[in-house]
Amino acid sequence: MTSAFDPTTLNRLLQLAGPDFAGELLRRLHDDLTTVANRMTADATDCAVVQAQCHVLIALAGTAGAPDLHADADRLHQLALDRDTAGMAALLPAVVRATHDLIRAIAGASPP
Amino acid sequence: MNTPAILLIEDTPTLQMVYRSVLTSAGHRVVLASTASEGLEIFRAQENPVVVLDLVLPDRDGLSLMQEMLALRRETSVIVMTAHGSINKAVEAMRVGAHEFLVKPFDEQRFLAAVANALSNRTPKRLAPRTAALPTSVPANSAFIGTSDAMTRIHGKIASVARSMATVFITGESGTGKELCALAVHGNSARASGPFIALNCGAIPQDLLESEVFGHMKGSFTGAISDKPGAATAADGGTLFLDEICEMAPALQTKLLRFLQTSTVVPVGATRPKKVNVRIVCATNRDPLEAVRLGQFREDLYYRLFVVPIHMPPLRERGDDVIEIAEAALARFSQEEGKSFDGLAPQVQALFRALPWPGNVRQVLNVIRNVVVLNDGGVVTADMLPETLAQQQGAPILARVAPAPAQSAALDDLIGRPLAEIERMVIEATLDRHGGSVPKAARVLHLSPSTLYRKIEGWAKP
Repeated sequence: MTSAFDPTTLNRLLQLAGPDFAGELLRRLHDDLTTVANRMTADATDCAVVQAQCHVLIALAGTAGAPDLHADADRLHQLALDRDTAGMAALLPAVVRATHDLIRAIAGASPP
Repeated sequence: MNTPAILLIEDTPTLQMVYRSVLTSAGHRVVLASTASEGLEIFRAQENPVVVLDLVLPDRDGLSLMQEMLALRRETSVIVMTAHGSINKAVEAMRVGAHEFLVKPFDEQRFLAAVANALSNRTPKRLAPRTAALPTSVPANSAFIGTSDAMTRIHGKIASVARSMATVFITGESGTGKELCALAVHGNSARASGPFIALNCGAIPQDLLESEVFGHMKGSFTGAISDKPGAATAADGGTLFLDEICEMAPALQTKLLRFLQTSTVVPVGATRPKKVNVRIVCATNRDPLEAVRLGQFREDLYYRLFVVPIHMPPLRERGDDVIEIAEAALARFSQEEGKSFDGLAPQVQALFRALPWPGNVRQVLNVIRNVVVLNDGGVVTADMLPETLAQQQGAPILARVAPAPAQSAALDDLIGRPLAEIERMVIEATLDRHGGSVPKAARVLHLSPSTLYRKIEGWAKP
């Protein structure tokens, strides 16, 4: 598990959002990722919750430029779909940690 | 701007904002909904031509929402968004009428290409009332003559898939009418007035195939004396039929995948991509999944193309269709040759029902053509049929092959033998190893089954 984060992707999104909305986009991204991390932590053994949160995380991580987290979220999503609770227990803590890493990186980013 | 807004149904605030930013930057108007019920309310109130829909919503399954929307206004183009893990659901969505699916994470270029494609697909025919837009017939062509259950199912499938943009993947043995099926899909779609371009990927040398599909620029290689639009450009606004798709070289498969993802073509030697609006229908006489397992066909391309599969049944599984096809062909060829025939004698009908018809409809047509050309008229009796035909009755395909020379000869034993004999030995040994299955042997030998059938039939001739 890594916390690789490529700011180029996020910067492109901020550029698309424009100066009026870039700050709002960062705030939403921060909030959405925080919600995902909190829900996965609170219901770590609930396959349905983990599956739903992974669905969001796959999109957010990929969109924000964190391909490793995206790939791990994808794997966790599959484990949740397969009801593989042992596999989920092994992978989920690392995914949550990487999500928090991404949240910190986004908190440090500034609108263009 | 007076164009109707694109309806975006997505519950994650970040993604709402990202998608909206991209769409508005490209000049589109967007209306947002965070839940299925909110989206449906907006959809009922406005005439949104395009809906971008997340398949996972908090209050309802996105797939059932899409079906309700299409039931209300079938001309709507719905682009579904899904995470990679739920790709099967996206394929299911395409089967029930989604215009396109995009796999998360978001890719700006693909996203905009899909929306542009959806907007340009709104032709007047798609806006016709449901009953008028539903296809009522498929071409009255030889492969489509027949009232067997198998063909009734094919007709129904063509009718339901034609109105979608979904990629159609036609499988079936050689001679079963795969191209006619592709034509029927095109002819019953909203693109019927556009071009239908067919390209046989197995018949074009691999080094020319890229130029044939994507075109080339003058001077891009030796012999490129002028700009040439490829099949993908020629099919703009219509349908591109790629036959024998499994024979496509791996490098070109990558380019085809890129083309499917972006709807843009880059001719050989060109620096800028060109946007096209094309529906893809492809076909193969092989088992495409087996080609994937053998590493000959890209898995991601397979999933991209294998959205709506249609399997053309072999003639031997179509009951009395063979009689209908033969009689229709007899009437047509008689007219063409200026002769008068009075149908098939009962013993000929019985023989036709019993034959395995390895060459399928194409073989029936050849037999009937032979009868019409070599006889003057009247009722078609058994003695008018080609001699080799009766020998096929009840015989498995392998049994038609004469006894083989020594099949397990070592290389030393082969030296000095004619090449044609060696080829026959190898083919027969391969057939033997695969229980007489021509398609399986053809796959191993990297030949098309039709080529193998021709060789086997050639050996049977005196």
